[in-house]
Amino acid sequence: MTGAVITAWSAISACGVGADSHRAVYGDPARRPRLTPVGDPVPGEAHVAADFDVTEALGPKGTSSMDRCSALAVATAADLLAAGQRPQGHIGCIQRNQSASGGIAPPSGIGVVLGTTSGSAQTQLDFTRESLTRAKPYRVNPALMPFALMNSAAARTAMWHGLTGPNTTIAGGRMSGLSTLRYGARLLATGRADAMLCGAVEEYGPARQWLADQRTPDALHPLGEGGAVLRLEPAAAHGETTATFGETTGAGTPALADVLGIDTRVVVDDDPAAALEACIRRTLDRAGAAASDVRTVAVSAPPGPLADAERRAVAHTAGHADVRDPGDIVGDTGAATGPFQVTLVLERRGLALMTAADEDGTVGCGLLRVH
Amino acid sequence: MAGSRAHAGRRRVAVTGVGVVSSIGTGADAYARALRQGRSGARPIEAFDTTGFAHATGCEVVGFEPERWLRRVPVEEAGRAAQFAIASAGMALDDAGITEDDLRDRRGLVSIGTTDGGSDDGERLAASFVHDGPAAIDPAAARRVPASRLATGVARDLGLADVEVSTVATACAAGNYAIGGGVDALRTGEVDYALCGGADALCRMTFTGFYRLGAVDPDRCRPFDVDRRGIHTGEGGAVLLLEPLDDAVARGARVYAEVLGYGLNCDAHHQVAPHGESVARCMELALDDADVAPADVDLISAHGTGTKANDVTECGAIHGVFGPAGEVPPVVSVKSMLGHTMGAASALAAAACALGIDGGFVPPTINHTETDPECAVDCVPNTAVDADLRVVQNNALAFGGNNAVVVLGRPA
Amino acid sequence: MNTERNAEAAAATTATVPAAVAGRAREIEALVCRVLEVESGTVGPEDRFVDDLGADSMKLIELLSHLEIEFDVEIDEDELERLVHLQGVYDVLGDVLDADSLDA
Repeated sequence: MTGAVITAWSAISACGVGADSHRAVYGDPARRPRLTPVGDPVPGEAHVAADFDVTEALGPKGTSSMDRCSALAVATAADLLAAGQRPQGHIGCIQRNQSASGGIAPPSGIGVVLGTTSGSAQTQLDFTRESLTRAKPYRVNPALMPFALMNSAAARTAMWHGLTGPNTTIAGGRMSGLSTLRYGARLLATGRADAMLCGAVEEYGPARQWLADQRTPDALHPLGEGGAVLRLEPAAAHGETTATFGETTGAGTPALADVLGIDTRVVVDDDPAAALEACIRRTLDRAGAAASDVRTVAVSAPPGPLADAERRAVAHTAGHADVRDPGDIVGDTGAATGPFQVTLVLERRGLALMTAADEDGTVGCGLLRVH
Repeated sequence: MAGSRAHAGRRRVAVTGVGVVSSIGTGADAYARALRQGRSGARPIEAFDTTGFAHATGCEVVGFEPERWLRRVPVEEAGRAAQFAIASAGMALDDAGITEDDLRDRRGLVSIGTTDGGSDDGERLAASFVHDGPAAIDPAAARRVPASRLATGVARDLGLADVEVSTVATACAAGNYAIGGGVDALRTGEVDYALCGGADALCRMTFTGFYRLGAVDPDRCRPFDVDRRGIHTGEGGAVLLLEPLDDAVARGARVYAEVLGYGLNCDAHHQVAPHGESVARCMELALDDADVAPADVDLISAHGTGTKANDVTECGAIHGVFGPAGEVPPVVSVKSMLGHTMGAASALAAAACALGIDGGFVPPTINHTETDPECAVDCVPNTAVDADLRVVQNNALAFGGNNAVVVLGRPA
Repeated sequence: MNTERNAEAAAATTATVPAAVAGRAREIEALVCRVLEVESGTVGPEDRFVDDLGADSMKLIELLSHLEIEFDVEIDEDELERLVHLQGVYDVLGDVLDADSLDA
């Protein structure tokens, strides 16, 4: 037991904006988003979050140089922090935390941990292009620089919403879902935060497409854009009146799921399936659960042969379960795959397993009890 | 004092190995000697083409031979920052007198902080995209770009399977974040050892950004000096081996220092300008976690970048926590020697703190002429001093208002 | 459009525009408004960027950078002291362009 529970989630993707838009698509394969042709200069087809316009969602102030990763994170988190107050699926213009302009926000126990692959590749490319093509190498737009850093999405989320708790970015690639849940649960267990927003975002752009095509040409899914963020709270505190979110969310919303355990390993012997199987068995053991109890599995479906290894490990352990792949719905959302896996398994009560495998040589799983 | 009044029964964490790749010395001993001598790593940047910049001094690691350090990961699979991380981790184990085989059956954690990750490869790819279009490809380089490779690379190179890996990408405070993450996992008993630190390679993008912001000193990096004009970008890596203090004592290990605690918070205020009040709060969180009072602190290793804004804001925050000038302990910046090594910076600084505690010295702030009255700290100018250090605080601030402060102490 | 007329008024008629930037006042005003994220036509020549329009030092460096890019000039960072309002921007650009034409 990590002692943490998931109490809410939100997401933005080709499915739309907000949890309800996603649930509607999850439950009805006929409503799955179609691929958008994306052309110049890197041809391809992708699941772009077309409903999400940065300026429309966040307003013109502070967004003129903002990368889509940061904007997706700010908007997804907004939906979570104000759940119940704003109609789902409609962001409107998300106001900045008012105290942010003058002094600093009062201390808040809410932290943020977001996963990423390598930040906004598009902003990094654009910045480098400016430096290389202008009359002087330093004639760049300096406003781009903070958005080119990997911590931009998490930092921007805190700034926009006045969240002064721990603020962390983990470059976990496809392990980001598990890494951020584990990190968030640990900060709750050690009392460093009262609640954590855990998730990941991934933009779509020619730079990401180009890098992905080079890395693994035989991708299982076309690229997808989006972000998913989970609200994580200590189980104990959640049983009582939640002070943290009490004002904005209506206290006492039931927990959606208990986070029973998370385990990851590094593949050192070229056998990712065996390593993942070891993770799954250990996680079930520690939770006192049997493999046969697992009702739902969500896979991370990495590009290339790793996807087969992941499926093999699942077949060896929880082959009987209903196996779902968020890539079938929202495309390959890279680091955001993990949190999207969680949102998928939250749709079905009982024990649920998420598996993950990244090309960098890590595998892992997480076990939830969905209420 | 350096114990656990408020946190009785909590597992204590020891630093038992130090591994360093830096512009002033590689390996714990060479690094400690360089810190004592106040050596400067500054030189003209050669890592990338600096044509068109009016000045381009940086703190580059020269003569690094990755094939000497990488044991299992092929050199071409690891970007320069990953190589620094792997080399530092290997050195930390050697320094602690243990081998990866000793760790094989224990659950561990590897956490490496970084600002740029594989961005040096990324920007070379970007350059080929800009010049030659999308047809120009380099799949091997593209695979080196994801930053997760830093921490995973360390585990793979040591052949350690049962480890939790995380590459912490909280920009220039990432090293302290990584150390804090290791401390928590050890305290909760989830792991039995942790290899924590940071690594970054010189990047044209980072240099260009700071240059454009007018935050690169054309001459020399001189934190707290009235004439300071900014940072020098630097590169390197540092990894600390952390173990439960009891285990370390039981096996008769050399204990450099104890990690007494740490604190994290976020300004939630401005994308590049630090906020003094919030930075002060982070120091208080760290001291509280370490269970020490400000008066117990013998030395502050500052973030101390050498920019106008950072040093004034940070010193103001220090005065806010520690009181007027007479009550503030010495405040030094090792960035005066190493430049700003980004995600590696607070890891290199933490290594300096551990070595200072163990060796009984305070590393100097070099290039110093006249202290800025707006900073008003004793920065131990230019020459190291011998000192009996019981508690040392290591500050780290980052763009985005990501603050992380680590407190180390001499084990009582 | 109303806004355009206002912009014309604010940018050209009430400010003293140096000869070197005459005819580009509108363009400069638009650039300033874009960088400072304020509506075009609402900025008077002596409205202070920091005190009146909520800009910070980062925004001023951004402005200097965009002026360099758009006008292909080098502006010394010391000029940030004069880039405090629209009139200051006209003056700095005027001086820099004058100096450039003397060099050429």
